[in-house]
Amino acid sequence: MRLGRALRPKEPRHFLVATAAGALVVLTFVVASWLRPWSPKRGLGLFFGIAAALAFVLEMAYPLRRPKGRFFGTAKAWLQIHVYVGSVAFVGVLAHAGFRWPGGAMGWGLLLLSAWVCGSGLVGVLLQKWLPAALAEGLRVEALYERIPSLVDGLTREADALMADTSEALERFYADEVRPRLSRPTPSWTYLLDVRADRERSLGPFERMARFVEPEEQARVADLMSLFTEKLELDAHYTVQGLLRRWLIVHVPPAGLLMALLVVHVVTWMRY
Amino acid sequence: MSENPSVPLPRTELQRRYERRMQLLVPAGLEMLRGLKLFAGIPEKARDKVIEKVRKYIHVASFVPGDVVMREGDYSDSAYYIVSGEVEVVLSPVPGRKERPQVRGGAHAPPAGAAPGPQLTGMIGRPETNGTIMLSGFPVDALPSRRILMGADEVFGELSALSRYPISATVVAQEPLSLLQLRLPALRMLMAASKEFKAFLDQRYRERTLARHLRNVSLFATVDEPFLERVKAQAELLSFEPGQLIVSEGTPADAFFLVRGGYVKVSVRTGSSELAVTYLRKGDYAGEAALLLDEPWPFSLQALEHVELVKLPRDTFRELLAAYPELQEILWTESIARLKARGSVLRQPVSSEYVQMAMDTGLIHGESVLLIDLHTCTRCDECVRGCASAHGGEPRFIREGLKYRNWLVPTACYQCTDPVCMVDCPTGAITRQVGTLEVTIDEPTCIGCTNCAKRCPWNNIVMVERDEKRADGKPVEVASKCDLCLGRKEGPACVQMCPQGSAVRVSFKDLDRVRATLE
Amino acid sequence: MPRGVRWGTPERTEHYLRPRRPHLLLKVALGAGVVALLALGLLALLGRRRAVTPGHLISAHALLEARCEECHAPGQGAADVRCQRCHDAAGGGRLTMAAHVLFGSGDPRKAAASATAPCAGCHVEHRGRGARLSAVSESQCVSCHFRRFAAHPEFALLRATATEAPGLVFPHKRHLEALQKEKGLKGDAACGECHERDAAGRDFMALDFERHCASCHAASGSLGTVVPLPEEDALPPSAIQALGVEGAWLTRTAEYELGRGRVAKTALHHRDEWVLFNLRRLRRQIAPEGYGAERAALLARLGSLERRLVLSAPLAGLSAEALDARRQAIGAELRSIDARLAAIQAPATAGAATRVAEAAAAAAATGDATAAADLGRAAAVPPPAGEDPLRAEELAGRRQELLTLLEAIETTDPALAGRAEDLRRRLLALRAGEASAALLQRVRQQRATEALRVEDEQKLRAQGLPPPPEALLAGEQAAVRRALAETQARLQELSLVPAPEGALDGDARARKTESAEALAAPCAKCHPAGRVDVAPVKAARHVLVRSTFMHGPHLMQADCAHCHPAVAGSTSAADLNFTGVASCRECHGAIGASQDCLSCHAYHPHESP
Repeated sequence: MRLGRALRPKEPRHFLVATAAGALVVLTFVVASWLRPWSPKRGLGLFFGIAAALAFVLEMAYPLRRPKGRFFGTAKAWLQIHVYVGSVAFVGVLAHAGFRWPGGAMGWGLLLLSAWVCGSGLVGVLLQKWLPAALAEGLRVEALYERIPSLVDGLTREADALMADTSEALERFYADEVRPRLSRPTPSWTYLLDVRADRERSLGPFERMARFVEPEEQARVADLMSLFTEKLELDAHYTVQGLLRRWLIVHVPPAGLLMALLVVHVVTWMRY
Repeated sequence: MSENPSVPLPRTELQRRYERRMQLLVPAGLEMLRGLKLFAGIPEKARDKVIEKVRKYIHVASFVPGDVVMREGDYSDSAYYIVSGEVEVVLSPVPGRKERPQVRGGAHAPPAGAAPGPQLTGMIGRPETNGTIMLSGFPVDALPSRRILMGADEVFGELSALSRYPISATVVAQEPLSLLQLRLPALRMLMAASKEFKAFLDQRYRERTLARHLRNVSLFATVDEPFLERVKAQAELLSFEPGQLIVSEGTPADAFFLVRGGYVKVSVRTGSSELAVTYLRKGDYAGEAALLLDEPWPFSLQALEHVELVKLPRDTFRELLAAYPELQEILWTESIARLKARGSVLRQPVSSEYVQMAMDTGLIHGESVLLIDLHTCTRCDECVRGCASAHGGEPRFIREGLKYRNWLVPTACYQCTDPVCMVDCPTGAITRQVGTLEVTIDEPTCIGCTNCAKRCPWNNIVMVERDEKRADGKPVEVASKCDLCLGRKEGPACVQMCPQGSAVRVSFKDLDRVRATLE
Repeated sequence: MPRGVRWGTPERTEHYLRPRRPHLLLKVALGAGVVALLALGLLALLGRRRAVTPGHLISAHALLEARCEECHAPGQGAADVRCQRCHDAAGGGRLTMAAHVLFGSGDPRKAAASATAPCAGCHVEHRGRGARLSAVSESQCVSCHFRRFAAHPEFALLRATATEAPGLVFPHKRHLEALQKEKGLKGDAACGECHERDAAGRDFMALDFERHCASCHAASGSLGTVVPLPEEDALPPSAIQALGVEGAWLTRTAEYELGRGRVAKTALHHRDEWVLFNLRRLRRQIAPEGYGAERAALLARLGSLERRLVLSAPLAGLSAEALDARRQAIGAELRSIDARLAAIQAPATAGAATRVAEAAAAAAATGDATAAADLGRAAAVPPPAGEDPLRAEELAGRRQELLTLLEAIETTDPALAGRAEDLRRRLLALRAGEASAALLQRVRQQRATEALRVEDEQKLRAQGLPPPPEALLAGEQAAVRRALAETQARLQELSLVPAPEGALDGDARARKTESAEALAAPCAKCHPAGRVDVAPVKAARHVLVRSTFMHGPHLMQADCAHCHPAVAGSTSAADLNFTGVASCRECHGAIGASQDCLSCHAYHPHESP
């Protein structure tokens, strides 16, 4: 299935390398901690800590590269680096802490924040693989997120024009049942699970209506149905694209907070 | 010309000149038209009706001595009929120029600030070169610096209009000039209505251009002059309307076709439907497979738009092969490729869908079409943002457009092989370097006449406002479109800035690569 | 024509759309970060360091949490000198790796050459309130020692070829038989008659004559009698009192029998004071060098303890001026040592001249002009022949000679007491085969460490950090004071022994020796006589000194005979009577009882003055 294929890594080689790196970190930790007690302040523990901190700083290069618009390589390469280095860096953080619960406020803060940032990042990666494929496969219409309200207005106007001179039953049907749902975008979380959610149920009334009206008006009902279908698809776009945009709020500000805590952590380490 | 071509003119001056020229273009008067020899070939009864129809597309243009009527390298959609006066045709290739010459838009050719004088260049072909061919419609044989004069009742510019080749020479008014500008629809209507007119134009093509055209096709590159003369004499010149069937699959093959202009669809029948295999552009040929194998036509040929063909009968073709056996190899290679394509389409009908789609939507014109894979596109607008930051804060395309399967074709200029947008530009602001893909608009030169924006069949050119104000107080508008990030080291920003790698630019000249990308 | 659902964008915009600016998100992130930094910075400034601690300190250190500088020296991290401020306030260095090596091997050179292990290397803080700082993982031990208990070597005591004299005549066999015959006790019950569990039940009480032996051996209240001896050999109580000695034993006249110039004692106690006093007196007459040596050793020990008491007054408790004075004194000492070292390492011109020249240089460095002049004159004296290092027995002999000489110098010229003390200490510190340069390096290292501590203390004072509470510091010195008191008491005892009037001739010596033997005869039943003395008792104490073995938990698992099978047949107190590491391996390892190094051993040596 196309969707199943969409979840695979874009660059399997990078995925393998990153997994191997993570496994190497864990293995090194297991061996080293069997030989000597593990301390985040000395030896390998310190090395992992510094490496993870530098990796987090490198992570910032991805969002900060944007303003200039010129940088080495493509954005795709940078995103690959961002995701994989971030994942391995988190394993490095765990290794630095010795795979044990932290002992104080700063330790908990750093661990939880890095877990949140990395976790939300990976959730974001999954979303970015799953949702666009769902949209592309399941829908015909394609729209810009910011334009959807005006597109819906356009559809409403078209529908109004279509329904201008019709029989009373149809007009009532249109005014009572269709127009309220047509005139505003109505996002719904069910679109996240299935972009064509409730399609039959929403379009059912049109089909029933088509049976009741005169043959001349059936074409109009069919047109109205396809119009309404477009509107439903725009709703799906509104929901899904909205989520794709809002996800960043969950990922980036905590990352800023994490960097601040990291700075404090490094400063206290260097000073003491 | 008095001014120095390398000093750019201010926009206000350009605007003024454009308006002056527009004033000088007046619709032709009915009486005047009736009296022209041009319409002599039309039967009496139909003449008035025809004249009424074509009047919309005919202007009277006045020039003073020294005015440039047409500039070498421009695209044009008009033929000119000299009513009175004299023009000089200047064909001046200038070797050793350091700057790359530009092919510019502008049939009216008022002076523009851009660099003058392109050079003759090389082959059209696909898919190797991007070169633009210049075929001459003038009675010359590419001899440099020979002075040619044309007087009343002469026509020039029809080759460029009909076949959409760039103009091959500069035409300068020698005396006070009165010209009739016949735009393309008028030309076509006249060719259809008056057999004489068509014969007249065909004759000129045959004498002046056909040989050059044949030479520029790889097939006839090594053929010697006498043979070529014979071919010229026996060739038939055909025109087809959009949608007209040229050849039907299964009919006996008795001719070899060379495309002069326009796009031809090559399709194969399966069941009750036609599957598109590929398409032919100007300079391509068809029929060699059938003739070599002595089989009926393996495809159907259909005109996608106004198509001009050169038809060589079977015997001439056989003679050619007999005289030049080495040509067989080229022909066989081409035939095998075509037959293979045909076979694979028959086996997998779905793979011809995109060819059909490309023809239906006009993407086959595109040298570099931006496609976005919606399977991986997260709608983050990074491509637009990158485009904006590469162009001073304003993007040059919109992420809206046609959706084909999971591919979105946004409204970014396709960098057409034969750009129609270049045809009507009064200042020559819209240009393309010979040999490259990018069609660019030079902003200081653009006066915002919106000709190009109206002409683009896909609305890929958008008018944007600037802070500068016009004489009447309204803000200046300039035309803006994707320029493939010319001058940007890393190439198009949209492709580079997409974090998912969804944005690709493909050329629809190479259908195999397109298929590989789309699947 | 049906409308259908369109593919692609329903309508196209007329104008380009500028994309929304993503920088907003980055600005929010940056804002959040800056706010967090400011908040934490503010907290830190206000002294609330708890927010930035990577982990809480253990509850015993909770008071230190607010002030990172108490433990963290900038650029050094948690430096040892800070831990030692409270945990080794007297500066004995008991908690260092050198002390560990010294305790384990007994070799100060090895100790001085050992690597340093920082306190924070094993005792990792910032692991939360409930962490156990003393729970050090045994993988730390492994880096120098072996890994598995199965590889534990046989106990050093059992491997030793020469054992020291037990100082007691004690056959377990006879005692066990007697216990069985007279009290009907067998097995563990019999052992338990003398080896009593202590109040906590962890181990056995120390063996004590009154508690464990007296019930049989002094059942009548007396250990025996001493035959009459001439008064000049065994002084009667009145004579002893006339010397200025005091004690209750002098008043119990009923125990003494005086008559015809002879003294006898009818009732002897354990550690009979009269016997001991007279023995000492006789020893001083018969073998004065032994007395001298003992006294000298006691004096040296007294001196070193006093010096330790003074020098190790917890730094944290000293005033600023005292600290300064201390620092300058140490500085002077270091300069002196450096000068000596330089003199030693200078190309040797002549043997003893080096030594004297060295001493002269040292004296000059410390600014002692007269000494420098003296020693300069002494440098002119030609050196003795032969410069090979001394062997152990030669060293002992020479050392005795010099000690006696020093004592004589001291008594004749009290002004030289300080110098004599210094030389005495140095004499006692010498090890056979060691060049004086190595010794000086060791001393220098010690002094340098001390200088570091003084400097650090001054630094902390300057930062405004208060010293630890007095009680914590004073406790460290208690052991020293106790040892000091003990030594002083013994010296006092010794000093009470009168000096001999003159040398003894052969007959007198023989007679006095006889009297001494007769005096010690009742004691000699159990205490084998040394050379005119009672030998010190070395038996009946913990022999496994480098581990902490608690009998308590083991008594529940096995009976005494399981690990001490040979006791029933042991006839000498020199017998060790236990089977060694093999019996430990039966449970520790084979069936899974703890194999952790730290269940038996401690890294830091026990407290000892």
